[in-house]
Amino acid sequence: MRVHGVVLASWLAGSVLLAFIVVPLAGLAAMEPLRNLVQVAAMPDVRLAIWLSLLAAFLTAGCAALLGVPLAYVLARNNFRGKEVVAAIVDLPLAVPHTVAGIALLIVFGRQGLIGGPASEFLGLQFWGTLAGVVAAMLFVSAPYAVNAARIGFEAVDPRLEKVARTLGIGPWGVLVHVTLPLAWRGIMTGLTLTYARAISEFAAVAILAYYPMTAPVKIYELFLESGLDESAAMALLLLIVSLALFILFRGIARRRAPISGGGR
Amino acid sequence: MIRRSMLIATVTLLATFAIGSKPSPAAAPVTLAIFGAGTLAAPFRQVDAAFEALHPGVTIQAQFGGSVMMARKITDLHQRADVLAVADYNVIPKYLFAADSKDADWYAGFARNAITFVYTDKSKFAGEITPANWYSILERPGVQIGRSNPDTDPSGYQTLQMLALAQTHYNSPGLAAKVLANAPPANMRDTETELLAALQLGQIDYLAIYRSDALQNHLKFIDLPAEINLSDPADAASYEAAVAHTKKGDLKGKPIVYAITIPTSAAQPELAAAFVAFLLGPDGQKIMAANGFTTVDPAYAVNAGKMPDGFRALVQPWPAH
Repeated sequence: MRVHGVVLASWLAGSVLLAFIVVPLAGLAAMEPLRNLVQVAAMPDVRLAIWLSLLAAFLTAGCAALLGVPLAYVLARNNFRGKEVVAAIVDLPLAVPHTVAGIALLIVFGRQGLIGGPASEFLGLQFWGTLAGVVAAMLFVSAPYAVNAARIGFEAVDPRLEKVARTLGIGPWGVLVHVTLPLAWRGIMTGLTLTYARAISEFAAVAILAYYPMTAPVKIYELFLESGLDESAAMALLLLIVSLALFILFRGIARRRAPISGGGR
Repeated sequence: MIRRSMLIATVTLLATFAIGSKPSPAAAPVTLAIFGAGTLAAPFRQVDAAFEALHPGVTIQAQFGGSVMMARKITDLHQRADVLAVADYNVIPKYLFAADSKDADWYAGFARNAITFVYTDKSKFAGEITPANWYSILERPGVQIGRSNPDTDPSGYQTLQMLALAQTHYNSPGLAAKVLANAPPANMRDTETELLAALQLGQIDYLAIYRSDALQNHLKFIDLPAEINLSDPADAASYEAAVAHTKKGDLKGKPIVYAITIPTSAAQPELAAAFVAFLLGPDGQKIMAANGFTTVDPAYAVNAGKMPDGFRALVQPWPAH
């Protein structure tokens, strides 16, 4: 009975928050006739913008996985002086206004920037008005989610399991691949999903580096200026539907345990 | 136990309603909501401060953005504004007069501006450029030019119109296309002021912008002739020959005249009228001039009969062309 009360109260409190999220979005959906949605979905530049957002966010999550998950592992498993400073630095993009983040990135990644200059000269890689610029802006604002969630995932893995595996003769890389990563899988996937979501929604930092090619949030803004609320709200709804479907898919993947054996795959 | 969960449920529910209900009205001071074009931010901050000093208890809440964005906030999002001031007078009839809710029925042209290009010492060929050779420099390969989006922002289409006028004025076929080749979409933003950081960081070399922005930001600029820079209402007829093709249709060149109105939905119409009168008066015009605008004295009026009482002495009819 006591458990029942706890669950009931949690549901009541939780449903307030749920309603807080759902009602405005449902309001957006309700004001849009299906006709608008179909019309906007048929616009090639709208489809291109949504596709670009999904692609750039995917690349962002990929970068966060390659660079952020190792950092999360170090923070979870390694004690070193200044660890809390490093953790605080990881959180910093959450506190930086995103316009400021965009300008800071432009300073470094611009044509005459510390990284942008050489990258353009030697690699032909430009960050101004390119997909690379979009990914850079997205990664800056969304990386903290990947690192923090993966760190919690790694911290939840009992170090004794890793030690047992070591005593069974598995090398440190083997333990990482066959024990630690599969057990931390959910935390890592949650982090990457949050990174992906945050990346899709980013406007200000992206718009400073790359207004064109247009990502979905920039296109929604342009539609609002160009033709008003109807078309922009319809496109926003379209983006929401696509995102919702993707998040349900990602949550499903995260729920599944990674295969413990056959880590070579 | 059931009673306990009921209690918790009731408390949670009550809390929900408490959050949902309106807060009790506080004794708020009078606020005046002003929506303005981005270029007006600097002079209006000074006008606002001077007006507040004359009207104790009045707090001005100003917000600035693209002119169309600000108009749409009123017509589409139904936000309350007591005063709307835009960079292109056409925005007011096009959006507010035309809205179903008839959001405004008059406007006054109160300041003039000109399109120019700003640059810094770091800009490519900065040492060579003059008001006579500017177009041949801006055509050179490798020069990066920034501009705002012609589909959404007045200065975006005004830049296109200015280049079309330049092509005729200098008798230089292909001028516009060659200059625009150096201003690809990557160098475009919703509002040109968003590109000032990129100019100062050397990402772009030249930026199409208003003369007032150049002066306020202490940037070097090319002093383009009045025949092409859209600054002079006397040249209105020849400006019309320059057409910008945008997603919203073909737009003919018009002199850059800033216009102000009081939306019909204003919550403080009397105070708004006092503000507009102050802006149109000598003190307001002095501040506008100090910020790089050309003043319009007396201001041009459209539908003067619909204006608040006492405005007639401050305005003249819009010059016909």
